[in-house]
Amino acid sequence: MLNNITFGQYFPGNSFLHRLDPRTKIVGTLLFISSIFLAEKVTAYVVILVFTLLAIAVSRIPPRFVFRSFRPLWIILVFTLGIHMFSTPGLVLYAWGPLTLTQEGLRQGILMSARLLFLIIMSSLLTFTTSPIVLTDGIERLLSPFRKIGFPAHELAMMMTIALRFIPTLLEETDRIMKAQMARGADFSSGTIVRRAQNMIPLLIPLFISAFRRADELATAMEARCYRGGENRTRMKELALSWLDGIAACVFSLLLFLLAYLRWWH
Amino acid sequence: MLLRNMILASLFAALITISSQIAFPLPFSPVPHTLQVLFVMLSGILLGPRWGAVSVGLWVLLGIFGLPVFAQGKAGLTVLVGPTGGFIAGFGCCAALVGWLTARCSLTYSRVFISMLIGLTALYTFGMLGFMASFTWFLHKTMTFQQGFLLVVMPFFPFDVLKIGLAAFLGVRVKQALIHAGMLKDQFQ
Repeated sequence: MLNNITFGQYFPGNSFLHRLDPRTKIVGTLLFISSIFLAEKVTAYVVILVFTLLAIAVSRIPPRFVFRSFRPLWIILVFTLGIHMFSTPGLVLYAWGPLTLTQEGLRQGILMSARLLFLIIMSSLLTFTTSPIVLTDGIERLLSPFRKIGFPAHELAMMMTIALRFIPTLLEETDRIMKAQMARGADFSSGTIVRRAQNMIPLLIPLFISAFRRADELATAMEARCYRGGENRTRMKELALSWLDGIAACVFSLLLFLLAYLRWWH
Repeated sequence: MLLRNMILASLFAALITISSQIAFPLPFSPVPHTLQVLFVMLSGILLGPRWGAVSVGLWVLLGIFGLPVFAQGKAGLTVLVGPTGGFIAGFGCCAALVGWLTARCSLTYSRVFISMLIGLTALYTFGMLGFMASFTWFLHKTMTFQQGFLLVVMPFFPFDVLKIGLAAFLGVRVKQALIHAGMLKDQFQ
């Protein structure tokens, strides 16, 4: 039940997208998401499609990995397509009982699911080409201007890193506790709902107690190393913007401008 | 103490992530069944209102920045503006409300269960609002309150009541065990 979860989809590489600064990639993805909402006409969707395909090509991620990333979301995609296809009034193409497929519905359904698809592809490209640690580093740097108004940017990034670091550890721990209790005769996979609920207790109590104990140990370890938040901290790997980031910024702004042009002036 | 609470909130965010991966979808509704509700309720009762909400917020933030932490490995802003986005926002309020209520009542199954039922109502309110807002602005479809209620609340309510029954039972037991082990004293104020 727990072993088949692959967490973190970072795909190591050295492509153009991999070498970009994480800040550029985060801001770029946000820009892309907002520009998608400007698209209304089919031409705008073609522009986004070309851009997305180019981004996949530039990232050098094997396409099957990209396709794998939207497998969990296909229910939403089909649902979006279906609800538009059969519930938009317009020219009836096909009627089947209470369901009527209209031309307008078909067009809108395809465009809306394409929009979702582009969103999914671009945000998974971000996590494909950026390791989680670099990503949280980028988030910290992006949020650090808000420190002046009391926003805990460093603390937040630190907590995100700890959460990511401990997901595999806690998964392993759950698995170990499960096996230990099964060796003592616990049964997690059969019985009535009430019975199964009761069987969760010997799993969850040790799990939470160990989470509390880990928190104690980690806090002690950090305090013993004089951790005192982000003030005056230096880092081993400094983030630096390069000319690659300049090119990426130009490309993203060009896309935003092009879509705005198609929407309002064309 | 602050550092320990921050670390605890992170660990609970990791636990909520793990619980979100154990999902079983229903074919007629776009909302998947997970153990999220259980773990969000538990983080509320065990960490208190403030840090419970922080742990849920952390989980949401990880998801917003594209890490596959939501149900079935979903991630990104897509999920937040999608039909189930309201629930993700509602989880934070739910954890805070459950934490606030359970800190103010005695640790009995019935009282904790009632607190969680109130938290669940808040979760459904946000979930419904998010569902209807997503249909109006993102998918450009009208969705009446009744339709939304039938799709979003009805198929899940019986299961969720079962889950919070379990959460109340486990919450009381785990909290007692933690107090007994000397790990939960008066640090969550």
